[in-house]
Amino acid sequence: MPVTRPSPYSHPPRTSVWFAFVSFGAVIAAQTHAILTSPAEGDMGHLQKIMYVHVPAAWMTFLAFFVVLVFSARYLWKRNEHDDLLAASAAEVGALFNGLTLMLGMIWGRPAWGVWWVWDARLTSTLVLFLIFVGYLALREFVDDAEQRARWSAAVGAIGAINVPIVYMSVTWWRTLHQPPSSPATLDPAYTLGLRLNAIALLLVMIYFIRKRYEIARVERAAEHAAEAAAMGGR
Amino acid sequence: MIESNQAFIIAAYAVTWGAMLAYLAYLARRGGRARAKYERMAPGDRNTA
Repeated sequence: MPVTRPSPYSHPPRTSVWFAFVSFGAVIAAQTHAILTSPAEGDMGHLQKIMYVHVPAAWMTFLAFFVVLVFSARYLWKRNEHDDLLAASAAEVGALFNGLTLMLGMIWGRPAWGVWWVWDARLTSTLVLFLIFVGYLALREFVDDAEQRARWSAAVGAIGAINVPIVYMSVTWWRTLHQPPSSPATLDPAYTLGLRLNAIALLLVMIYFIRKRYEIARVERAAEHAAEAAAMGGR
Repeated sequence: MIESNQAFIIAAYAVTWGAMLAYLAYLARRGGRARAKYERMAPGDRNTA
């Protein structure tokens, strides 16, 4: 199937700097609210405040990889280059949040469990998810042919994203040290507003990152197309 | 114990902001490089300006 190449010189979407200010400002406001208003938890005391960064980071990981799944599948169906670039942008941002989730989990685990790391189902499946998407990004660096790169990474992205429900359900399916999933439905009402606000704020940051990364990816592809056109004209 | 817990809380928020700001800096650098390369390849095209 021929690849649809939208005009490389069509206007790339410009991500407003105001979007950055609003999203990062929202994170500052949400974190300040959560830190100042949430009471100490019965078992963990103030350590519970790590939840406001750890849990939203995990949700953004899942969401970003869902975007990868949708746009990878769309690329395989329609062969539109924009879908490939959007999936790759979401994969990079998802890997960032995935790595952050792992780091924050370790920082929380050390005082709560007494260990930095344990090979339980939730932690291990989250690490596997991270490694799959690090592999995805490495694959994109090593394959020169744009169409082959897009096809292979769409396949890896779609398969990798299937791991997301396994990570989410791991605490239910297997006996783990990790607690059951935190959500407004399972939390004490004293913590739900803080969690919701931090999730919305981090969602804005994630959207900003994906948009900005996509914008850059389009300019990079436009430069590649221009180089190819120059090489063809120079023969 | 309380003091050491405080250190973990501060570390968590510091790591979060460190990661976000580092990625922001990476995007700014990579965006600048991409636009400069595009300008070399297609001089005069202002769509990426």
